[in-house]
Amino acid sequence: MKKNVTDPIRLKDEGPEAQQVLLRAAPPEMPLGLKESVRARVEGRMQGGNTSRTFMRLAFAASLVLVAGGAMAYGVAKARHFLQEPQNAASPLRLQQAPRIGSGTTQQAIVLPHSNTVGLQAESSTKHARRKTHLNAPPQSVAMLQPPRVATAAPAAPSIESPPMGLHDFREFPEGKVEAMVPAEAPSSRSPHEEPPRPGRLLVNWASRRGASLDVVDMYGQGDALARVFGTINRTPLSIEIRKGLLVGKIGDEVVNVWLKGKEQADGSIAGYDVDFKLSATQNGYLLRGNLPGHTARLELHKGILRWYPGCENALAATSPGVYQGTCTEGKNASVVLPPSFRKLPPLARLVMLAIILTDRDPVFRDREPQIFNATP
Amino acid sequence: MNVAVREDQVEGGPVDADWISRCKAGDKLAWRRLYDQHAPIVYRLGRRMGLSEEKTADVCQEVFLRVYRNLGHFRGDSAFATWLYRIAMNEVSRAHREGSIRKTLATLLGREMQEASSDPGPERRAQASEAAHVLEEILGRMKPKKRSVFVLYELEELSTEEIANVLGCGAETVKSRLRHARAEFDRLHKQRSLVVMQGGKL
Repeated sequence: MKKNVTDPIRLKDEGPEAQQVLLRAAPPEMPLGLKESVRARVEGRMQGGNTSRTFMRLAFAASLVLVAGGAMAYGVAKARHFLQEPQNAASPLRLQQAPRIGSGTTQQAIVLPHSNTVGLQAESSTKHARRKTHLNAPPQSVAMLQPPRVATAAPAAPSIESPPMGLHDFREFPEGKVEAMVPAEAPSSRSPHEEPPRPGRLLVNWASRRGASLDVVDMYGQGDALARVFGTINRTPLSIEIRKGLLVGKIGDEVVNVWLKGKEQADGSIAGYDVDFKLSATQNGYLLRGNLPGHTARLELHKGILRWYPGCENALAATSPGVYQGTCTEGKNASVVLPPSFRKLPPLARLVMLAIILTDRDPVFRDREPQIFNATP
Repeated sequence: MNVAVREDQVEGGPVDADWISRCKAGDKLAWRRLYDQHAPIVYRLGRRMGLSEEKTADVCQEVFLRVYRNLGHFRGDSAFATWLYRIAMNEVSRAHREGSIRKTLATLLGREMQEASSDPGPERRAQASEAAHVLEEILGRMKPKKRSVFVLYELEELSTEEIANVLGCGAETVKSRLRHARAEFDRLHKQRSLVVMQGGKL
């Protein structure tokens, strides 16, 4: 080693004793068998001349193109499936312009004369039975359309229980999608052999502030793991594993490490910033207070009520188990859906996750660092 | 730049310019010696950078293939080990990138990925000391840039200048990253001790 006089002293030599012990631990040793096998593989590839290497590269490139093409086709189909949902409620004209009649992806009410829809409804009802029920908000300019042509809720298959909400409830949410009203894990008529069950989906739809679609995978019974949450929030990827005593994962490129200490306190770091939380039990639920990068946070989850600060001081009311909706302080509609796999988590982990996902500084501070998620959904 | 300690540590003494030129000339024996001396370094670096054993073996293979193919371009301006570290770090970064791309693809496709864990498995873990296990755990929680500087300086014992050469950045940048890396290491170590003291399990 070249000894540079300006180099700092190594922790191994003069650091704290506990760290010295760690840093002096025996280094990982290469197993002899592995060493030999790697050498054999290297020498084998060294023998291969340029021709075979070029051929291999071409073959690899071709297979990569094939795989990428396949993945893209699959991804596009899947993305179309998801992207159609927010478009449903956007405009009555869109409903008229792009009726995907009879296609496998038809999920919305189709504007057609009544006589035409009867057969189509019957045809599509079996397809609907295999999917979640999607109900659409009635368009704002509904009066412009003739009464029989007004888009109505998609026909639900008899086997699917409709969410316990009346149509008047949807009228309060003209801007965003009302996916929130549909329980993510609605009972389905499909047989268990057809398709593996999908993870519960945690959805946040908060007009112009935050949009989240996260998968919550139940991992109870797999060691310390309780659940894994992954997906995107405002186009920022998030992947966090919830374990007994620890939340660990990433938001974008930033590391999340939050230790859950007992049932009431948690601290750690997010994106290199220290965070801490304290949970208190209230008469009807829980109150979480804490510090996140860039803001302090408060989140209340009472029986039938969810509210968070900063962002949505007005309480969102529960319309069915795990489904909260209402209007936030600044007049924006918001809905939050918590799947059963998320609701069964311990309160501290659950509320800390919600605080991370939901609390959002006022838009006037959007340019101010730090910013965990993108400013706009 | 000289990395004498690293080269002295390997069996058979340092690989000098003569051996390198013999390798360039196609001497198979010289090549084997070069491999035998330096494969453990690459393996150790891969493991300390958080790769699984399987991935580390792949990285070793790629590194030595690149060494073999590019040995003709090695001018000897820096020590061979520094050059090797540079190639190895690039391959380790590539392996990490590849892993994250796979993970992203798996997430996009809504599939759970069977990831090759960097966990050495129960048998190897039992063999490794508790300290080594704790060290691996803490390193696993560090950010990649800080981790690489920390590993190269504190564990591989390269000088800041050598690290700058390996990572392709300035020596002052290395020192700054090292300072932050030490702070992060210290914080993670303390947090871990606290959780262990309270009977929690990471």
